[in-house]
Amino acid sequence: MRLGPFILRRLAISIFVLFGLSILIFLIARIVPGDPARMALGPRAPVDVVERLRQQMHLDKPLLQQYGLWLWEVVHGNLGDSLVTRRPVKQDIREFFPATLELVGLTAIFIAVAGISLGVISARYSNTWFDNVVRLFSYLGIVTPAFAWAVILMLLFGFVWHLFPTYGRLTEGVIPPSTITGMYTVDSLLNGRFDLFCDAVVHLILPAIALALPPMSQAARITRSSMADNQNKDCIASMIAYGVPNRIVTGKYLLKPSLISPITVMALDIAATFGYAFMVEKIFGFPGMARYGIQVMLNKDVNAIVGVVMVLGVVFITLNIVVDIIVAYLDPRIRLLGRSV
Amino acid sequence: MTTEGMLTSGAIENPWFRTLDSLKRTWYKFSRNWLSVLGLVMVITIVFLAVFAPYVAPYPQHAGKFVDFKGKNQPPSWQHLMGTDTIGRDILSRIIFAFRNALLMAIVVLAVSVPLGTLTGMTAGYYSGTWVETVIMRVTDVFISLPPIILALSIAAMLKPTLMNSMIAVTVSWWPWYTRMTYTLALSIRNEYYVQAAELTGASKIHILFREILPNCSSSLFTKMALDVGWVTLVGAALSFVGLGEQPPNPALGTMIAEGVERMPAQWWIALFPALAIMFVVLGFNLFGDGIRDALSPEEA
Repeated sequence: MRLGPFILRRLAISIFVLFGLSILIFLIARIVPGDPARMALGPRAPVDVVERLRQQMHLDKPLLQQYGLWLWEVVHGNLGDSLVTRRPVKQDIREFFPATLELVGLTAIFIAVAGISLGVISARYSNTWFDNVVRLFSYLGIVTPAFAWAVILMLLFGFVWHLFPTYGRLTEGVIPPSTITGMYTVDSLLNGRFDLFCDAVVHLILPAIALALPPMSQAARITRSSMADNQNKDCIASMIAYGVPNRIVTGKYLLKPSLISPITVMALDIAATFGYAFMVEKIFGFPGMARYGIQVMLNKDVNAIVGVVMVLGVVFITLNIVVDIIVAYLDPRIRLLGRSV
Repeated sequence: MTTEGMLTSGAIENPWFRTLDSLKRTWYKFSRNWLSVLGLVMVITIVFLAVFAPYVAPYPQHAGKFVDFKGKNQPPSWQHLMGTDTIGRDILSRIIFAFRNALLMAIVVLAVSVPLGTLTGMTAGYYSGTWVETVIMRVTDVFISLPPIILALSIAAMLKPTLMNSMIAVTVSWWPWYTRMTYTLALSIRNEYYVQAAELTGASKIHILFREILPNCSSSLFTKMALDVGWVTLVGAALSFVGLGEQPPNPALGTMIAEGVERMPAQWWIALFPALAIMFVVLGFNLFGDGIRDALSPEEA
């Protein structure tokens, strides 16, 4: 298996894309009308203070030099200071990001497990009532944005049926587990506190379902249609004719090639979940990136915005590489020839 | 020319007659699926409400600066079909006016993204293997390394929060997806025999790009455009939800949800109806777009 060179090449492309993204986001941050230093300090700050901040932010130097200085810092893991909280952006992100990561992680599990299994069952029993119900609901799922689901789920489960809590990360008054990763579910398990783990998971369920429903429905639809396409191939018919058990035909020979397109789409959807998480977190009062993100956005905190985008960029590119490896594992044509056919 | 004249003077050669004929056939295929027709009805409803908002909204003055503290937080009733918000404005009227901004945004975003994306994608696809392709597609790669919602949020965050700037932000994150789609299409079309035939007969590059490749991309383009009106509305609502779009007191679907969420258990209608309105727009344009795809795709053998 020549997976090594394939991954190396993907990695090289990713670094190039990340570099391009840094130029793009830096350029946008610098060409927007208005002086970032002035905006950070407010209209009544004295001129010499603004001038000092400008020098600190290297705003008085030529654009190319600014970019070079900024990139040098970023490569060394320094994203600059937030102009609002006056703390290093890195520290802010480390504080708020784990909660969102935890939420998106659970969402991703929902999307992958529920989306693919619904699609597979739907294709296996195509044109039965189950298939029709799944198709109808997946259509509704796709067209209803995550924040609309959040409102609907909150009403149904939180206020009509009282099944799940609808606010925060933990029940009020409960002391969070000591910080190791910042993710409550992981930390509570590492501390051996199973009660805390349950509490954290229960709080995650509604927002995660709201975030998962649209991409999950999309995944189910794509899995179903690509299973249906492959079902009609001669190789499958001959395998059934040879008497290969249905379980093995579906689970092994049909599933592998059919998973390629849903997995590719899922990667982008999971990445987009970080965006929709902003709204869903706000609706459920979940203290993740949303609170911080909205605050820095409304205050035009350029350093923090650029920092958050760069971190998300790294996350997405990692996600894409993981997906490429999975796809390469599933599809020997990509793995061996280095291209899709 | 009269109908009679058209029929007698060789109907087949008359281009207008042919267009009419193909339109009829497209409509026939489109209307066979009742879901597509439902989508069309929803789209027409949305456009009608948006265009004639001042005449159809029950309380047009509630769309702007208006306060009625006596009538605040009223649940849905015959006077206010969707209730009133925290300062007594009729939610139905505000939703109808918000459709205007949503459609305006979709039109502006698509009016820039589609020509820009199509042109770059077509060029990159036709000149594949040259530096033109490399430059265009690598730039596109950078833009699509982030999902549109994230890129739009971060660009809008750095600009002043206005409707215009949110349109700019969405446009910047939208065009590369058109580039990529047209690029993929052009890559396969350029190897077709009719393109090679045109090249052999000495047709100009412009002719090949616009008369051979572009028309064959059109059905995918139209489908994507119809679907995208819904998605742009959704992303626009997401931007206004966090406060980066049309500013109060002007109505925007996202802002209305954000306001309603704070009143959630008791005054549920303030958040629920704008959320359903977004769902209605996305569903309508999705059904419509799927119908267009079915109607424009070539007959299956």
